[in-house]
Amino acid sequence: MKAILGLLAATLVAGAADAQPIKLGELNSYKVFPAFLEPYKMGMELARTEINASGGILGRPLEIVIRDDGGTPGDAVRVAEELLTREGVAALTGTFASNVGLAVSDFAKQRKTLFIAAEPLTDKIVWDNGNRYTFRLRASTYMQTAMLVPEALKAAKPRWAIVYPNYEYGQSATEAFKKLMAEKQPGVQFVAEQAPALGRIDAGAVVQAIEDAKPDAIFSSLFGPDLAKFVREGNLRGLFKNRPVINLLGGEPEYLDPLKDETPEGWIVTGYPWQSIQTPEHKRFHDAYQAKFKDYPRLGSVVGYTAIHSFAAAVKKAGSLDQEKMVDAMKGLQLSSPFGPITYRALDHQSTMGAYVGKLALKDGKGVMVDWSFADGAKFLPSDDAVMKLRPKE
Amino acid sequence: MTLLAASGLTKSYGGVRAVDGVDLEVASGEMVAMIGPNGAGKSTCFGLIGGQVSADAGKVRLDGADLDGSPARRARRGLGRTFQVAQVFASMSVSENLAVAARGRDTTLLERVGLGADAQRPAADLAYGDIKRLELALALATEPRVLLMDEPTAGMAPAERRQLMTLIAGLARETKLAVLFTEHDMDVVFGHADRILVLDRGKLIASGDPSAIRANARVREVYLGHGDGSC
Amino acid sequence: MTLAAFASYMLTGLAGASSLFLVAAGLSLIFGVTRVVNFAHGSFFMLGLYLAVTLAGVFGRTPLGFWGAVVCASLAVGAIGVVVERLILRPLYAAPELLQLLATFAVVLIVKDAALWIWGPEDLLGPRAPGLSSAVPVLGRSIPEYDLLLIALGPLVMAGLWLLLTRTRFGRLIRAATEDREMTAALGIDQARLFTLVFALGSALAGLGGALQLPREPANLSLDLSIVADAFVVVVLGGLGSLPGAFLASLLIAELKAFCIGLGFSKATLVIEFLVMAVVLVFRPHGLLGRPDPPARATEAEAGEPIPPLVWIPVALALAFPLLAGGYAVILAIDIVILALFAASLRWLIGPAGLVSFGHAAFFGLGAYAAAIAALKLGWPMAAALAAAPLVAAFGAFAFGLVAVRLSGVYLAMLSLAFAQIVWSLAFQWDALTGGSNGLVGIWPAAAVADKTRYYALVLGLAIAAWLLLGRIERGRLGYAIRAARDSQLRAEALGFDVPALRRIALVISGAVAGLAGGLFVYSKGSLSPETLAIPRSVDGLVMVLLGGLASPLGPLLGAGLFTWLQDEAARRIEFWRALVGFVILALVLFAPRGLAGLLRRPRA
Ligand SMILES: Nc1ncnc2c1ncn2[C@@H]1O[C@H](COP(=O)(O)OP(=O)(O)O)[C@@H](O)[C@H]1O
Ligand SMILES: [Mg+2]
Repeated sequence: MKAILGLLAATLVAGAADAQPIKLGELNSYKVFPAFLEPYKMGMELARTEINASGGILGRPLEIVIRDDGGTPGDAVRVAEELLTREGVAALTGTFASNVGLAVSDFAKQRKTLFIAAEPLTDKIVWDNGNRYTFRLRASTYMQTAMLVPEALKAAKPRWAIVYPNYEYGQSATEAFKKLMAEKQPGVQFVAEQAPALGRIDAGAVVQAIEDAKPDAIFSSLFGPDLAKFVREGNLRGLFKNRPVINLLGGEPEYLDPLKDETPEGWIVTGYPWQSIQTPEHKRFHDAYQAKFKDYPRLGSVVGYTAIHSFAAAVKKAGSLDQEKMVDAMKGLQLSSPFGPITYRALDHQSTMGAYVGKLALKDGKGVMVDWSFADGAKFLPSDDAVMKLRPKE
Repeated sequence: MTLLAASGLTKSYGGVRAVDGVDLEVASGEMVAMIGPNGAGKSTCFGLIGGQVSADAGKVRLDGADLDGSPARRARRGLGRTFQVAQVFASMSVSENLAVAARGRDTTLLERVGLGADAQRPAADLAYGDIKRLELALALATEPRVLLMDEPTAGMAPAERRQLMTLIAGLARETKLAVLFTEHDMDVVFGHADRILVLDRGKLIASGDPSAIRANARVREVYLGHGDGSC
Repeated sequence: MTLAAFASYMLTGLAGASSLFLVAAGLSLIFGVTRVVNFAHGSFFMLGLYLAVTLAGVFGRTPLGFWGAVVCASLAVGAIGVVVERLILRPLYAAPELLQLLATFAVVLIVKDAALWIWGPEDLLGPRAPGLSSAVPVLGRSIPEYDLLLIALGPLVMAGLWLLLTRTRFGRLIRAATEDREMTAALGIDQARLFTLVFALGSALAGLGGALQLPREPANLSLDLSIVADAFVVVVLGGLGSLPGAFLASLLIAELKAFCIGLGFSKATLVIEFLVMAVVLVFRPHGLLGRPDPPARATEAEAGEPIPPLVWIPVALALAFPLLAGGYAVILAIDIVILALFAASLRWLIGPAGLVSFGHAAFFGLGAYAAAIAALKLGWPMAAALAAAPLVAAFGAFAFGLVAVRLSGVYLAMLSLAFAQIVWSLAFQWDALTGGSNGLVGIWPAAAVADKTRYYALVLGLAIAAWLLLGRIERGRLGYAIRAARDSQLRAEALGFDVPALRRIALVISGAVAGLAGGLFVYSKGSLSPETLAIPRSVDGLVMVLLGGLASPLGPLLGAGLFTWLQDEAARRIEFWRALVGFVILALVLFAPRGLAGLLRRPRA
């Protein structure tokens, strides 16, 4: 009898420890952008183990239900539906491309469900198309462009050429750059604009066209294969000789590492110098990641890791899985990230997560960022008034 | 009374003059055969009349009015035809084929061409002779005034050939149909044609009633010259 | 533009042309001889580049290492081509032609996942070519030495192929087979061996094309589809099976692109090749140097008995089930029924009308955008916006029909692709109306059908109505006339049918139904973006139709159901789900060549 009671007690205790997990639904375009999202997935996994090792959320373990969204808004919305209806997840997170992010954001609004958009960079997701239920972690296109503008001003060059992938991200980056530069350096000229289709740059001709315009400096928002082609072709043809080049995202390991010995030295970029960030937050993250996966973290790892911790922090703050309470908790939520403390602004639901701005250099045949400094996202946002004007009334 | 009249029909392919200034007339109720060795230009001639081949020169008139434009337009004016390689609707049954062609008209043509028993069979399953028969029924289903038949009896046994040609001759008389046909079987030609046109290398070299053609020296030369009397 | 600038764009264009030609030449050969629309050609290109990167790493940075890597990669891809031909395509030569397209699509999925598995997700940039690693001044501008090599290589490969085709027995066989397939078969040539050899050669050329990009672009997983689209455009623009045509087309496209960029119209590169192809095909229905298609193989008779009525009972139950079950079943069912409707519109076009479309998403997307724009910009209520969808799509189909009905076969299919890409680029660029690449959001159904089960009921009701209508038309006089025009254009015309008009009508009907599906789609998702009418959706439509089987109206439903469900399930359960989908498609293609609906038919007695 005693034995049976003991067994019963043991079961009850165990039952409490692995109580019904809290499910977080994550959807992303794993097959379309694997270079970013494989490390991202590992970052999420690290965050999950950390959270569960320290007792879970509200005493319940965290479970992340990961789904491939097929890379299209249509499929993503179906997957989001599946996460809500079948898996009964408490909230949604993830997405990469802006069109998918916006579609899921609008879906979240429709279904009154918290959505933490981890990666999509489009300004619209928090501004023009912002809504009560959507929060965004990454520093947006606008913010990262703004972080580079001081560097561009330091270069003090009158004639700029711009090259960008022809879709919303590249277009907004270009627009923001031109606007900010025109404000701060009157008389600045934009002498060439090249907008190759995403993933299909004709690098030889683009490099030549830029060269023909005889710019003093170049602003680029290329990434991935386009960036690699542009860099090699530009190096070959001497486009970058004596010309400052500024490249959004160019220091992200996902896009920098493939360049290897082709890395264009001296380019000013936003990115993630994982080798040399010595803050305690980052060291802890880096070491844990390295120990768990025997690999160094990429930027995706940081984003995935922080997105999951954001959710956990929000639920802890809300003390409940009620959507409205979680959303209210997200507003102004503060937490520590590998990049330091961040806040999800109540004003527009944008997190203040920053980025590193520095120069590219070659070290042992690999690209690294040097002379970098951390740009706090909070300092690179438009005025509150301007933001309020952009954001629809709730 | 002349129903179909063609004049100066000409067509070249590259350097080859497939049809070279051909004039011909067919009266209603008349059966005219066009013969000539392989490659003489018979099928091209039919194409020029039917509109399937665009003419370099020449004119076709039906009942005194110009017959031109697309094949479909010519067909709607009353020109029916069959092709050397029979054209039927392979994905449909025999009766569906006919229904498409007849566009709702009542018809007993299947029985008349001897396919009554095969009505439900897929057209693709028919023997070649039967496909030719079906094609003929399709051409007739539009109730044409002129019928062109390109080797209508190919693939049939001699007895079937006679039967089919008798049927057509009957129709021609009954409905005042003008018939122009090509044929390799000289028994059929001489047995059923009211008049014969002989084509060689694109040119009309003789025309007349069967007895005159039989006696024509040039015709003999053309055929014997090719060494194959039945071609 | 100065003369020097002109010359340097010219040279850049020439280098691009050589690259394009190398890929296109293989595709042209394969298509010419085997008539296989080889979707996997871009995958072979991608494999060539990946292999070259790996081998160059192994062989080391010497000229011998570099060129050894290029040659070995090309040969290896040729060998892979042989395997694909032997195992997958050979059993299919007797099957309906489009089935081979489906099989090669499965190969694309498998190769993509295999590459991800082997090489990982990161882009791999190869080394510069030793000895050709810098630029030389030409008229005061730097031109990479490697570009000059490529410029020479294109014509060299062209000349080599020309010698092969005209001076060897193998080449003569290839030419004979390109010109008249039945004839070569009749001549007692070992066709199987010829096909294998041609496939090997074509694949090796694709691999070579990829490997030669080693110093120019990083190996990455999105190369396959972007390359195959380019290669098809070149092959069709040049004229199917014509190598000089392909050469000319490569030159035209690459130079146009270079000069677009040079003259500051870089955004035009988004669609320039499709625009050029469309214009050329409208005026020259067989491409620049192509000859009229050899007569296509006679249309397959729609074999077998009709599907037994009993089959409809489980189908009806399956469609009704989500109404009761609710939950995720409804959500998946909405997607399936909408895609089935889209597939039905495509089957109607490919089946009864015999017009193959590679760009059917254009009509789906036109419907979707019409509904979205009507709802968001014009403030129309849902019913009106939904009604606008088929109308606008039908109008698009009519406009396409004006230029398209002269074409047939692959030319028509590629013109439809060009049309779709042009519409896509409009949706992509016209920010003010379409929201550009981000698209439009906030298009949700009216309150009465906001509930998912109710929305499903609406979708199902409209879909059934459209299916019944399509079925009625198909079995009615118009449907027979359209089928007649497909079976034999000659016969149909000789019976007085206006074949071009019939085709236009078929297109408009199909477009309207696809547009309706698009309208329903946008309201089910709440948003749309240009991918709604991009190439992958057209391809998905084709896959669904072929999986389901062309012969029966039930086919699209079964195909859409299986494909959507499979993707949904597989993507959830396993990492390499694309490969799994590929293998399932292959299995179905090989064991059920008449599609799922074909399995349900009793074979003809
Ligand atoms: N489409 C074509 N292209 C080239 N030559 C053709 C074509 N059609 C027919 N010819 C040529 O025209 C000539 C006449 O052919 P045809 O009218 O078929 O002769 P027939 O029917 O009397 O046998 C032949 O030399 C044939 O090779
Ligand atoms: Mg003939």
